[in-house]
Amino acid sequence: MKEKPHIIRVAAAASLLWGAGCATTETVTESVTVHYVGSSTVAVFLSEAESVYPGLHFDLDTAPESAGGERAIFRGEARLAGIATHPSAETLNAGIASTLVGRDAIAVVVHPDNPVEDLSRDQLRALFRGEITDWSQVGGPELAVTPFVVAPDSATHTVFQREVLGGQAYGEGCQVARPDRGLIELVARTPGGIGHISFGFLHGEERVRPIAVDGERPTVTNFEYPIARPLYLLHRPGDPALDGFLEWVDSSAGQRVVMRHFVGKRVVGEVGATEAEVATGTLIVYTRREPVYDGGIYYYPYTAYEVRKRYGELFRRVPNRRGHNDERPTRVELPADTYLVVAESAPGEKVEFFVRIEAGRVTEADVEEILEERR
Amino acid sequence: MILPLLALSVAALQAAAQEDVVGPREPRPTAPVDRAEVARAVDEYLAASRPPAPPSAWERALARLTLYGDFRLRAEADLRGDDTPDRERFRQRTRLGVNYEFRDDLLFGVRVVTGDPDDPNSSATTFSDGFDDIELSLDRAFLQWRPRGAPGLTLTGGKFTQGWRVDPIYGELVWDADIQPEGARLDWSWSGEGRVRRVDVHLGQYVASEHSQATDAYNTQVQVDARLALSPQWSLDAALGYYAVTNPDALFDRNRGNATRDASGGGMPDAYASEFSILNPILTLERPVRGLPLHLSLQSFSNLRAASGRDTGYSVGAALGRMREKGDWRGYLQWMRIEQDAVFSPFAQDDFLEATNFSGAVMGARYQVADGVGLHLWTLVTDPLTGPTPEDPSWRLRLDLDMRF
Repeated sequence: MKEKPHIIRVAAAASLLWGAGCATTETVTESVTVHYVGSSTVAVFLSEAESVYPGLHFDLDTAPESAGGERAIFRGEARLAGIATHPSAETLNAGIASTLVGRDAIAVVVHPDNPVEDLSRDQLRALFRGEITDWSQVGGPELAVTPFVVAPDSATHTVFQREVLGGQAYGEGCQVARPDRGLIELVARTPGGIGHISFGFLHGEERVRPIAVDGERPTVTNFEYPIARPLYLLHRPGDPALDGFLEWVDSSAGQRVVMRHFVGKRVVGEVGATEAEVATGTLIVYTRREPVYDGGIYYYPYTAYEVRKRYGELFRRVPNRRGHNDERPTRVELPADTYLVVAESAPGEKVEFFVRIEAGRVTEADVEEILEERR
Repeated sequence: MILPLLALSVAALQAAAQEDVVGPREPRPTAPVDRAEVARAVDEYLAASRPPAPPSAWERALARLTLYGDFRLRAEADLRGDDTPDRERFRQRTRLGVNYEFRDDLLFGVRVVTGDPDDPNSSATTFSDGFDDIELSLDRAFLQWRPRGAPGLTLTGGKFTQGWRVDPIYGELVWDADIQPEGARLDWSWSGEGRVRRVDVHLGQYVASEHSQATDAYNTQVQVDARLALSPQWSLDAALGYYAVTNPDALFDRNRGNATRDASGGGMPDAYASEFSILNPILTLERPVRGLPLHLSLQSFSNLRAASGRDTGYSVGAALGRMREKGDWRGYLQWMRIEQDAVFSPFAQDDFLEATNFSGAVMGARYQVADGVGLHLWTLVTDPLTGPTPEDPSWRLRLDLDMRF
């Protein structure tokens, strides 16, 4: 039976804020409803963001997960999409903008009665491939292993497959949970159960227990946890209602909400820093190089790029060369913050990525490496 | 006092965070806390997190400086088609430049080159003339401003590089690449993501010759260059340039093949026969072939103010490859026909044995033997279009060792 789309309609939790707004100004702000399609993980953030960011409501359609979200924004069927992986070049080339929200750890959860605390990625691969069938083989009780996985539409499915299984297929014994959140219930009901799920679903969750992977526990501050993926919002540029919201996502206030469940774009200590506290760091971007013919010799200087504080707000345009013969990328000093860099991936084709500038430190980014990662 | 408190706070926060992740668990045995140990750990953490000292004023100034340069060693043989004796020679060219970014929007640059300062078409020196020392001169001294409020706009004044679009196969038929114009230029660049990927506009006004007692010579330049995406593989670059020379006779002593006339009636040629306003469209198709750029190019040049019908030239050529890194290679071939007054000869190339009034070809291969070091083997064939007597084609063979840094 085809499952009905799982649509969460969040009531106007911002009404209190709206009311407060009415008390201080005579202008009544009209609330805007935005149709969202995509990752249920990103939707966890949107549900909470809605309760603190005034004037926006999200119609959340999470059944299509990341793959469906990217399709929907590409076809114009959604105003906002969420994906738990990097956007494809095809999507970016179609003029769709991407905003990095944060990073999500993919947690491995077991039944709370299971005493196993830590598994290596090799052990996880064997468990999810069906090569280990009993918990006693990894230091647990004599109990049959029942692996659960989220649906293939979910980016959690493919990222875990890539990062842990090395691209190999899941074992035939894996049972599929749809939507992702349903996996918690399945593992909670199965004493020998094990599953993978976004860490964002586990806030306050006691029915299952996340375990460490390679000795690293999944937390919003643990950058060493080995299984993580980026969370992006995709949108058409020039949407006035969304522009303000996306600026807020990038702000300290927005990142605080992100970090209730996910790893933020900045380290914890930087969130909430005031302008007065901000010092400068250095950015070096290795962009595309194009030939310059100078008296019989070809020089290959780097091409220009833009630094934006948020989508649409140009902060600085960097020629990335001092004259036509300069073959070294320019070292650019910027206030410590997170920036969006827009560079050329090919003549006339753009690539966008975030960089974090830390005080007194050098941040380097290589466009070719970023493109290779996205492929 | 503060550090132990901080350490305890950190420990408490870590414990709380861990419980938040793991959920209810068995109570843990309480271990005694070594506060001094925790304080030391916090000190180490803070020290590691502290940003390094900011760079000094001297380090900042040095970071704004860019040095660049190149060196070329050339073996050359001219095989003449007329009675002129063949010639072999060795040459070198050294160029060393420095650019300094005063501010993010202001750049100053100079370049020192070898060669005869009175010959703007070449910085090469020939081995040897009784082991004479090599002269040095500046072929660039400029100030460049990129207004922050006008993205894509660049204003340059002084003596500076050409910077406009030329034919990518061999691009010196109208403008010798060694010539560094003097005057002012405005460049504007726009890029988009639709079918039109980039548009560049260049407006230049150059002083070609200044005289205290006579009329000066100026060169006015306009070029519009657009890059279009034809398909995911193919792109087209279409440029249209217009170059006008005011009072070209001020440069009559540098004529290298244009038609002349006796303007003063003194019995000797003392002026160009034509005025020069040259229209120069360039069309280049590009696509990658096995990761290397393939260029197919066609250009023409028409002197709109020529005194005779010998006013047109064109070239067609192809090139494959690039010269960016070690192991790169590039092969190219271009055929051209240039009528006598199609180009202004003082500004045109000096690689061929004639600057104008010939049909010919250039073909060559380059190989990057190391990063920044390339070999270039090329040959240039010249067959005069008009002359007192029919001649066989003349050949020039070159082997260059190029080094850039």
